[in-house]
Amino acid sequence: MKKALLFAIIVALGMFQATLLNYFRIFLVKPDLLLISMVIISLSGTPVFLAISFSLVAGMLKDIFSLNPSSVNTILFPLWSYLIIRLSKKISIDTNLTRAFFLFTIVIVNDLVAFSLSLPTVSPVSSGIFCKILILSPLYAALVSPLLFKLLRPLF
Amino acid sequence: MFKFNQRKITLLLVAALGILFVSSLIAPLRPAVINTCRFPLIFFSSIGREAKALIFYHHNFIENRRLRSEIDLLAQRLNALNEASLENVRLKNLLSFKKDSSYKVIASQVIGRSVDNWSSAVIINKGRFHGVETGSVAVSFLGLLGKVVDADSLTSRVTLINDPNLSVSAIDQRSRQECLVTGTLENSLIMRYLPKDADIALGDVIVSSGLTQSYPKGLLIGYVVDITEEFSGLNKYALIKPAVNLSNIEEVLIIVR
Repeated sequence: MKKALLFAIIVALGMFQATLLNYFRIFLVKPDLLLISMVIISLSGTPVFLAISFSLVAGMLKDIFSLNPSSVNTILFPLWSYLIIRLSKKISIDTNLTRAFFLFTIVIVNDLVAFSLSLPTVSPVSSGIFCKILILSPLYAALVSPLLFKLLRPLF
Repeated sequence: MFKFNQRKITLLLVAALGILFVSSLIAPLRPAVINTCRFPLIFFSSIGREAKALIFYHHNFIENRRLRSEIDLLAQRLNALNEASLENVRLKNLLSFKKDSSYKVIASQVIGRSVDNWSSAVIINKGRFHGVETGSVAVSFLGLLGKVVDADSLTSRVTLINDPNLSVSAIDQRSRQECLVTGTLENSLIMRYLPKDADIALGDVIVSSGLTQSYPKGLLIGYVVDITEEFSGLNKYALIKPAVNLSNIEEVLIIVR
């Protein structure tokens, strides 16, 4: 039951990100709720297979709604999920602050990798705008993450 | 930190292959999922619209009054322009000018937006079934919006003009200087590689040139707000403020030939 609810929440978050989140943009940047939910699921002690499956769904949703021709998030999200689970067994990521900092790093790395992978197919943006998105997007995600963690916490 | 044995490596390889297989299925899955999610997307979008209407009620009320008085003024001007247009048609007929092909316009609503910060696109609630085709031009009452990049049966994806992947052949309405307008992901567009002696001034109106078959001639793109020399000193570039506020479009008109 909880698995189905979690799945429904991920789908709802994807739709929220594609519609209403547009009204909450700061300097034209919005947080990546699907990536945040993937990180939270991976950090919350969910079994590896289940966490990777949910990450796959989140990645697929992001690719479907991002309107980009590549499927880079479908590949990256489960990979991040696996690495986060492995890393969380080695180091403690329990407080909101460490989680937020961890998420900040993940979003930057994900954006950089996704952007570099899609470089051959997209036109480059100016370096100023690139840096702005690269810094503001993880910052916004890190600020939103405690709220989303509270929302998803009862499901684990 | 990570210790791998043969079994784990095999598992990882199988998982990687599985993910690659699923990712290859994403493209055909895309339209089907968006079509299925059409109604929830419309629902979410309408919540936003209604909330916005409630929050900005007073602002909307004042704007409504201002627009009503503007409509009266514009109706008078339109009347005068209709006369001029009829005269134009008559004179063109006398000179046997080739007539421009007529366009049909399909009205649609925005039901979704790109979820990432690296592209600027919207999903609309009209598709091939309604006559929308890939490559159709999207406009609003104020000017050019973008281009349909993928038309599915009931929904379509429109890339907006502020997406860096979209370039529009344009012309300065005053000086007739030709240029290429590209998106910047911000609320501005850029005209790059202008010659140093290009006749461009602040406030100039930029419209589509119609040189390529993609965009009809004369669609308003925006206004020049800044002109700067490029770092190399060989060219200059101009920033354009789009005529349409691209960050909160709700209705889109699709031009169908």
